[in-house]
Amino acid sequence: MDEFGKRLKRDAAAIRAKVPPELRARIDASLVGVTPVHSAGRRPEAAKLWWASSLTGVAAAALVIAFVNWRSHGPETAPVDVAQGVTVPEHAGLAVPPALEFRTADFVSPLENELDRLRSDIEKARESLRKDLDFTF
Amino acid sequence: MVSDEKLVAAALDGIDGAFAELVTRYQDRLLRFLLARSSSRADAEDAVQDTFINAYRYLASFDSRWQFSTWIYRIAIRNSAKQRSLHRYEPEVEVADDNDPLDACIAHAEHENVWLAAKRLLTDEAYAALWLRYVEDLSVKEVASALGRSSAWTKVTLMRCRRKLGEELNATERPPLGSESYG
Repeated sequence: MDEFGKRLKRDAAAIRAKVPPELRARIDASLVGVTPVHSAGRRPEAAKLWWASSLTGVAAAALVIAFVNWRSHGPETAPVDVAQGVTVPEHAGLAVPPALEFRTADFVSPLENELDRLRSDIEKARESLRKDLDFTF
Repeated sequence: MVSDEKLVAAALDGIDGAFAELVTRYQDRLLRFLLARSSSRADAEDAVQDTFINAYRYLASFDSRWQFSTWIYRIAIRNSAKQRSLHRYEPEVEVADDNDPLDACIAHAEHENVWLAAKRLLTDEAYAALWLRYVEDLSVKEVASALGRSSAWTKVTLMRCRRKLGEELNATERPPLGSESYG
């Protein structure tokens, strides 16, 4: 610690701050009436059971894998002639699907707009930070 | 000597006298710290009492990764801030300089006590940062945690405190300051 640090410590020690017995008695008396709040975060029993959740996770994963394997090795069905199963409505040939004329810009422009907005937000945040720093220093 | 953290664990286990020992360890230190933040000695004493009550009530929430001193000073800072905000709307009372609770507790020495100058020149937060770093020997990270600030803010604040106090003291005394790096 440098000289200034020692000076700070020395001068702090020169402050006469002795808690009088009356105050101590007051503190002790007030503590008697206080009920400690038990934090939800302090659960040593739960900490000891960490393996239970891991075991459950492993068991669930094993079940899923087994099920998927069973499905993939199940009895194969006979190939179906797709053309037979499909019935084409009579008016199908008449209906003209709407023209899907999308340009690349249609897909890209919303993203570009979003990017512009993000850039603008970053610039505002940077400006705000710069102002704060100017104010602080 | 039993560590503060072990005493906290003992108090949580319901061992009689464990928290009382913590009170004994910290009562004078907290009062000394709070004298500068309060408008009267009575307020400082009330803040000490409230700090211990809150600490006892929420002892289970103490995170043993941190030092107990960091935690209890954080409570003390919050209590004194709350006390001040409650008093803000009361009719102001003229307080003469010689009634300053901190001044009254300082023995008159050859030089002005640097903490009186600190109280006069620094903000409450900066005063607290300086006190916790140099009197309580907390690390920069712990000071930052006690104040709810970043380490960078704390380092800059400490540096500015030293510079400000140095300028003040240099005006009346010989230059007391050297440079110190933080981190």
